[in-house]
Amino acid sequence: MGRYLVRRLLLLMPVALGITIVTFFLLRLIPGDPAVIMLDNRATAENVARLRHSLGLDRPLFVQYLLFLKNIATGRLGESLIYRTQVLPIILGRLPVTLFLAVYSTVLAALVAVPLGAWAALRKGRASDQAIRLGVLFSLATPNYWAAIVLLLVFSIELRWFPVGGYGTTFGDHLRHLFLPALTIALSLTPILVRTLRHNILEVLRTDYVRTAHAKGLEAARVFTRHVLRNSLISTVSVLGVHLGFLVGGAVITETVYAIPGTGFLLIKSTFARDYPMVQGLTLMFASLVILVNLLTDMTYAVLDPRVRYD
Amino acid sequence: MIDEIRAAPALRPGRRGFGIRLHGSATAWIAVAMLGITVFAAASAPVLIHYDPTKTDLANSLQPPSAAHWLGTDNFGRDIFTRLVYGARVDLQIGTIPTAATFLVGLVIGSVAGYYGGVVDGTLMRIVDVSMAFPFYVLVIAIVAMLGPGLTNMYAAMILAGWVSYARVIRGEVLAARTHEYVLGARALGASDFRVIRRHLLPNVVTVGIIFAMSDAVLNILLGGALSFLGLGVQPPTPEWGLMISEGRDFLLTSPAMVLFPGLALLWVGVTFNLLGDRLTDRLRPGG
Amino acid sequence: MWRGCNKRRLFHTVFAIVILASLTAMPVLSAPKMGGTVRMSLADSDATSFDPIVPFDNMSIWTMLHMYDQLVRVGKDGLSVEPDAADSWKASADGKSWTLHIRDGLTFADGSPVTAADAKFTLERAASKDSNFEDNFALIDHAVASDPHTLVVTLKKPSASFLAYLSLYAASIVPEKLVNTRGKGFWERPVGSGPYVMTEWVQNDHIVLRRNARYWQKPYPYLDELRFDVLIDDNTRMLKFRGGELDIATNVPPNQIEQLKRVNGVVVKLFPQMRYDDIYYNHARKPFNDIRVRRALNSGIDRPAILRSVLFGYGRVATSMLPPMLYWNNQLPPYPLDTARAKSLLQEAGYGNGFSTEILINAGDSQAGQIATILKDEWKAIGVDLKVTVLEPGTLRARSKAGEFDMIKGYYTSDVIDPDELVAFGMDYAGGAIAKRMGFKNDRLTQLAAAAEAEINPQKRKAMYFEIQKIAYDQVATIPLYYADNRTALWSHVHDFMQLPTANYRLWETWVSK
Repeated sequence: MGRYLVRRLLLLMPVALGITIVTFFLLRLIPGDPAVIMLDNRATAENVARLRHSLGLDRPLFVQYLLFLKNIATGRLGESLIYRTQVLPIILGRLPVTLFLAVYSTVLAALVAVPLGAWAALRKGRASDQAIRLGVLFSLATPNYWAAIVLLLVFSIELRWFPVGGYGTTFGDHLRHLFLPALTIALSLTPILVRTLRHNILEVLRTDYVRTAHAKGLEAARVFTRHVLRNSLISTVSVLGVHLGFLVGGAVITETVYAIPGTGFLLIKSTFARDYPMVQGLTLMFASLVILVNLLTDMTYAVLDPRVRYD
Repeated sequence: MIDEIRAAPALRPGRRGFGIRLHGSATAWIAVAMLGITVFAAASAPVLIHYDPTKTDLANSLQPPSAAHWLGTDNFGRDIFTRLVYGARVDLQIGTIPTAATFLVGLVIGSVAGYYGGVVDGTLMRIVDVSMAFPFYVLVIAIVAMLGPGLTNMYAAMILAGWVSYARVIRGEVLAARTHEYVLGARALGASDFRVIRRHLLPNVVTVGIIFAMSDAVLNILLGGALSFLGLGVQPPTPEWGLMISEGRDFLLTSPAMVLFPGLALLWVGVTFNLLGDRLTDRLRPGG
Repeated sequence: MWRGCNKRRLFHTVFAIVILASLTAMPVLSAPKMGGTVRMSLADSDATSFDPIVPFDNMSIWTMLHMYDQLVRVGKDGLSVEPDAADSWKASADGKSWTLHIRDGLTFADGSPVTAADAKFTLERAASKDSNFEDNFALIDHAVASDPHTLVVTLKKPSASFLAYLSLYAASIVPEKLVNTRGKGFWERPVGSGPYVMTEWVQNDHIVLRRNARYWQKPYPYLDELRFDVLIDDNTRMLKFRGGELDIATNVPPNQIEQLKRVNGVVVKLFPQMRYDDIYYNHARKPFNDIRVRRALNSGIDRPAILRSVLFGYGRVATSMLPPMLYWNNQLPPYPLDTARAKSLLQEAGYGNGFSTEILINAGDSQAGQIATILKDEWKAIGVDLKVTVLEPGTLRARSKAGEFDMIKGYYTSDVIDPDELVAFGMDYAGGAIAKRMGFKNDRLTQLAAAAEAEINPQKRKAMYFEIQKIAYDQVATIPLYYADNRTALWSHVHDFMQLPTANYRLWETWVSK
C-alpha cells in the first residue's frame, strides 16, 4: 500500500508539470490580447504597450513561465488582470460554494440512486427494473438549462418552497438555497450512479452471492447488504471524483441560472477576458482536485479490494 | 471498476463479429421505432414541410399553436415545428459524427495503451491524465477560439477534448482481457500482436465502447446545445435545438413554446439513444 | 325607498367616508420616509474595481457614483451639470482657467474634511499615465489648491466641455492622505464623501452599501442600506423580482414588459438614455468603401420593424450617430426602407448580382443576434447574403482591433452631458477609437470636432456639432439602428427612483414606504 502510494505520487509529478505547461501555453495560444480587451475602446497602440508592460506581458514567454512556476511554489498564483488583486483569495472565496454544490448534488444523487440501483439489480429483467431504467433515461436526457429554469419556476416562484438562487450565509441557508441547483445537477448524476451500481451489483451477485446464498440462507441477505454498501461507496466515490472536476470547471450554466457565486462561471468569464492568472489559478485548483480525488478513489479501491493490483 | 470482478463468461473466446439481434424485447423495438421516426423526419423534411426554417415573418411573431403553425411561431415569425424537424438533421449529426470519431480515436489509443503496457501505456495514460485534469470548457473555448466558430470546428473541439474518456475505458477493458487464458494461449501458439488484438480483444472491447458511445451521443448533443448557448457552437439562424433554447430563453416567461419544444426534442432523442444503449448492453453483456 | 332624513344621513355618511378615505390616502403623498433597504440588480456583470481611474464597466461606475462625490454631477435633465462637491465656480475671461469653491463643511465618510488638495490630487490621478481616462483630462494643464476650499484649474486651451468632464466618475474625489498611506488596500475598502459607504463586496455575488450619515446633501440619503445583487441571467433576475426578492430589477427584457405591467404592485419605468446602437463597417474593405453600397445596404433595412421586434417599441429609430442629448441634430430624417433604390444603387456600384458579407456579434448579446437574424432576411431581398458569426468577447475584440471584419454590431453610451466624448470616441478618426477601427476618416469632421472642443460660444458649438452629425449621416458611416430606452421594474413601495440619461441612478433620493 505504501509503495503503491509513493509510486502514484511520483507519477503525478509529470502530470502536474504537464498541466502547468499546457495551461500556460494553451492560454496564450488563444487569439486575443488581455490588454486590448481590458482597454477596450481606449486601446491605442501606446496604451496597449503601456498596459502590457505594467502587467508583465511583454517579457519573453519563457521568463513569464518561470515566474508562473515561482508563483505556484510560493503559493501566490499571481494577480488577476481584471480585478487587480491576488487571484488566490478570490478563488478560495468561491471554491467552498462549488464544493458544497458538488458534495450536495452527489449526496442527493446517491440517496436516490442506491435504493434504485439495488432494486433494479435484484429485480433484473422484471417490470420494476425496466421502469427504473426508463426513468433514469429521461433524467439523463434532460437538458440542463431547461431543467434549471423549470425547477426554478415551479418550486421557487409558484410554490415558494425555496429561495430564488443565491447562496445564503449560514449552513442552513446554504442547504435551502442550493437544493434546486443540486437537484438539477443530480438529474444527470443519478442515472450514471444507478447504472454503475446496478452493473456492479449484478457482477457481484453472479459470483459470490449465488454460491453462498444456496449454502447459507439467511446470511446471504447480510452478505448482499455488505456488497451493496461497498459497491455503492465505490461507485459514488468514483463518480464524485469525475464530477467534482467537471463541476469546478463546468457548472457554468447551473451557476448562471441560479446566480451562484461559484468557480464555473468565474472560469468562463476569465477565459473570455483572457485573465491569464485567474484562468491558470482556477485550472491548477481544478486539476489538483481531480488528481486528489482520483488518488483517493484508487486508494479506496485498493483498500476495499485487496485483489486489485496495478502494474 | 474492479477489473478482477469481471467474470470470465462475459468474454467469448474466438468470437467473430458481434451481430446484434434485438428480438424479444419490446422496449428495443420502441427505441428502434423512435430512432426510425427521427431519422425519417429529418431526412424527408425538405420534401414534406413547406415552411422555410430560416425565413423571418415579423408580422406573425409569437403566435400560439394553430392549424397553420402546429407549435406556433417564434419571435421572428418562424414556424417552430419546422425548425424542430430541421433541427433534428443537425442534432443527429452532432450525436453521431463526433461520437464516432471520438470513439475511434479513443479505441485506437486505449487499445494500444492497454495491450502493450509499460512505457507506452505509461506515457499515453499521463497524457490522458493531463487532459482529464484540464477544465473541459477552457479546452473547448481555446480550441474554438483558435479554429474559429462553426459546426466543424465544434466537432474538432469535442473530439480533442473527448477522446480521453474512451481511451480510459477501453484501456481498462483491454487490461482486463489480455491476461485471460485464451489470449495467453493464442500468443503461445505464435499469433501476432495484431491478430490477437483484432480477433480476441477488439470484439469485446468494441462492445464496451459502443455501449459507452450510446450515452456519449446524448451527452454530445447536450454539449452542442450548451456550447451554442455560450456562443461557441452552431451559428444562427441554423435550426439546432440547443441554439433554439438559447435564443428562446428571453421569451421563456412569455412564450415558453420556444424553449419547451426543443427541450422535449432533446429529451426524445436522448431517450432513444439511451434505450438503444441499454438494450445493447443487455444483449452484448448479459452480466449487466 | 329612501325617506328624506335617511337620504341626508346617507349623504353625511358617504361624505365622512370620503373625507376619511382621503385622509388615509394622504400619507402616500406625504414626505419620504427615512430608513429601509433596497435590493437592486447588477445586470451586466460584477463590478471590477472602485478605483475611479480603472474600471470601464457600468456596474463599477454606477456603484462608485454612490460612494464618491465629484466636483459637479449630471443634472436630472441630462443637459446640464449641477453642483456637487463644488458649490460654485467661475471661468476666467479667456476661458483657460476655472476657479471652483469646495463646499464648506464637506467631509469624507470618516469625518476628515474634503479639501481642494484632495480635489487636486484626484484630478492629477485622473490625468496621469496610470489612468485609463487620461485622454479625458488631457485638457488640464495644472491644478492649484490656493486654499483649503478653492481649487484653480488651468487648461491648455479654453474648453466648453471642461465642466462635463469634471462630472465623470474618473474624477471622483478621493482622500489624498489615505490613498497615499494605504496604497492598493484602500480600494478594497474605499472611503468617499458620497451618500453611501461600501461595507461588503462578495465578488460576483453582491455589494452592500450603507448610508453615510455625514453626507452633505440633507436629507439624503433616505435609505439605510443598498444591496446590489449580481444577476446576469435575464430570467433569474426577473424571477427573483417577481418572487419579491428584488425591489428594483434593471434591464427588463422588452418582451416581458406588457406582462409585468399587469402584475399587481409592479411599476415599469422607461427612461430615455444616451445610447446609440448601430452596426459599424470596416471602411477599408471592399465594397464598404463605396458610399453607394453603404447607402444601398441602409435602404434595405426596415428599422421600425426591427424596433418593434427586438425592443418591442421601447425606443426610437436612430438617425444621428449621437443619441438625443445636448446639441443633438433633430433635423435628420430617418432613413426610409426602399428596396428598389437599394438594388439600383448596388447595380450602379457594380454589384448587380449582390455579394456576400459577414457580421460579427458578441456571444450572449441576444439583441445583436436578433438584429443579425432579421437583417439576414431583409438583405436577402436586395441580393446580399449575410453570414452571421457569433464570437466570444475576447475573440471579437481581437478581430475588431486587427481590422479583420466586414461589419460588427456595436453600441456606445455617453457618460457625460457633452457630445465631445462621443464624437471623439465614435465619430472622429483622430479620436483613435471606434472611428479609427472602422477606418472612417473625414477631414472636415476631424477639423470640426477639434474646433467644437475649443469653442466656448454655445450657438457656434451647436452649429458645429450639427454639421458633424450631418456629415456622418450623409456618409452613412455606420448603420444607425435605434436609441433604446432603459427599462426598469420596481415594486410600488419604492419611490423616487430615476435613471439619468447617462444611465446611472440617483439612489440617494429613493425611499421606500413598506
